[in-house]
Amino acid sequence: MKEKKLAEALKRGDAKALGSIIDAYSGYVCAVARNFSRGTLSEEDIDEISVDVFYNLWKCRENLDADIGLRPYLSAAARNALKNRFKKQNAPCEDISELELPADFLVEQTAELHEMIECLNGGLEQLTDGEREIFFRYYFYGESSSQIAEKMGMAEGTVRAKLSRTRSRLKDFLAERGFSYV
Amino acid sequence: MFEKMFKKYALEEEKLPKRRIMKNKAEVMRLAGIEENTQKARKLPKRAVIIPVAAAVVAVGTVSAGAAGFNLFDAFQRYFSGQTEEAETVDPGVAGLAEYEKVVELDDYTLSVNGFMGDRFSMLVYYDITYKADKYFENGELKQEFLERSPVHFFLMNKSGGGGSHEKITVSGNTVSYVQEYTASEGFDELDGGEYELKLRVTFADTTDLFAGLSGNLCDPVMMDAKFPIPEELSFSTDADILLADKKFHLSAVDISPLSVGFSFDVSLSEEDNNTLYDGEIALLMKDGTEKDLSGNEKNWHFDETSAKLIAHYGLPIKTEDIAGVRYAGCTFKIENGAIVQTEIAESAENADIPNESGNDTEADPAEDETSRVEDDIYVIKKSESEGVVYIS
Repeated sequence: MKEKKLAEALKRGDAKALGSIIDAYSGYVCAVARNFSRGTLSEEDIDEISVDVFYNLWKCRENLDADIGLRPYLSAAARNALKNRFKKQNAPCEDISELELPADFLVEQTAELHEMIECLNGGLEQLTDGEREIFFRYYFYGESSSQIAEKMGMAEGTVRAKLSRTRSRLKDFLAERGFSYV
Repeated sequence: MFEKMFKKYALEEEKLPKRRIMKNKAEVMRLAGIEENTQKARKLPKRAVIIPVAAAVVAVGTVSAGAAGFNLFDAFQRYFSGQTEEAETVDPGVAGLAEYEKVVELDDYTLSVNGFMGDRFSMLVYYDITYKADKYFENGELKQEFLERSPVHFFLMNKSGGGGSHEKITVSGNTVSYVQEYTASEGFDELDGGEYELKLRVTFADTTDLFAGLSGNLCDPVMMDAKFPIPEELSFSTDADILLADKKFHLSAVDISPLSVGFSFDVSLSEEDNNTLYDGEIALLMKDGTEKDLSGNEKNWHFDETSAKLIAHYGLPIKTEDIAGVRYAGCTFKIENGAIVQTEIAESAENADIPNESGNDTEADPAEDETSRVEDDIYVIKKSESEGVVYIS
């Protein structure tokens, strides 16, 4: 079943769809969780995060926007689960707190999600392709600057510099449009 | 654009063993209440061994109106004395004790978890840490911080919060034995009867705070887990009125668990009322004539506004069969035969003249008089052999 169809079936409360989603996206969620945790979590932790993510997806299924697909939801949910896990300690990945998203982002507040995505889309269009990829990998997949540098064949310092500039530009862009938490 | 980017910049996904995905899936299904997978999810992992004791369960066990009888303390004691041979015969869902004997031997330290126990409001974990590496010592002595708090954090599966206060720390050489309590007021919601999974995480920091360094500079994180059942508490219905600060509160039930006692009120209470409830003395009356005073320590009190229940934590396990009664706000309930309902008890409080707020300082305080009068009444709760009903004498 395609991603959108799965999302639609899940929205209708189809338990079988939930099972298929877990089958299909467990590897994805684990990769995101592992990236964001920067290797500080055990396998059991990763599994816990994964269970949290899919259970929350099920709980909030009615708010799911099937058009957006599942990956953005799962990525944000994994990241939020990480944030919750580390809320009493310093997060292992500074980026989690640096680009502060609302706690319910992408999962529970559809209206805000749309608004945010629209806004982010606008902001991302201002970027070059390379900047977009770096931003995306860094904030949505949790890949480290060194991982990104290796993948994109550039120096780590360059990745960091681009990231910093992108962050700054997006911050201004979003802040002008009322997203003060960025 | 957003969703397209997820496709364009594809993430290298992990290839997970099918068995692992199935396990996680079963857990999600269980949490989601999806029936067909529930049985699979509830199977205990091999390493979670549950060893309560049959005989102890039967000894006190009377089950009525949803309240399970059990003798947790006996089971626990027996476990510690090594008498676990009856384990196979016991229904863990009744006894409320989970034993999880596991030793993790690392170069720097050894962690030995000896047992868990819990009720709806509180959990206890017993474990030892033997410190070995030099970094844990200062001038040949174990660093003070380990004698005040342990590096273990609790995580209740799928519940928020963690941590726990340390009720008892004993030292023998380089081995420190911790008894750590984790209560509802510290972060998890009141638990229903059933089975829960508790995880312990050990995180030492060499020089600074945990997770210092951000780059995976964690020192020996050890995650352990065990499932254990949360028993139903003994529940006594009451029709008692209690007086506190010139106010009358109707007490609908008293619940006794191995680790806590709860008092339920069947009216909606204001915040001021809630605070007033904390002023009531709570004491457990033991059969040997001693009392365990639970009042005066705010951190051991918790008022659940949803259920209008005041919960006092014992801190350490009490052998429930040794409890002769409970006193709250001058109202004494004496328990016999470990059972259930009681009716029409608090006549004295019910008929009390509620003191006038403008009261006369030069005369005896009518509230005090009333309290004294209530204290004189001991309500004995007995179970009828034939009817399963409790009478008051």
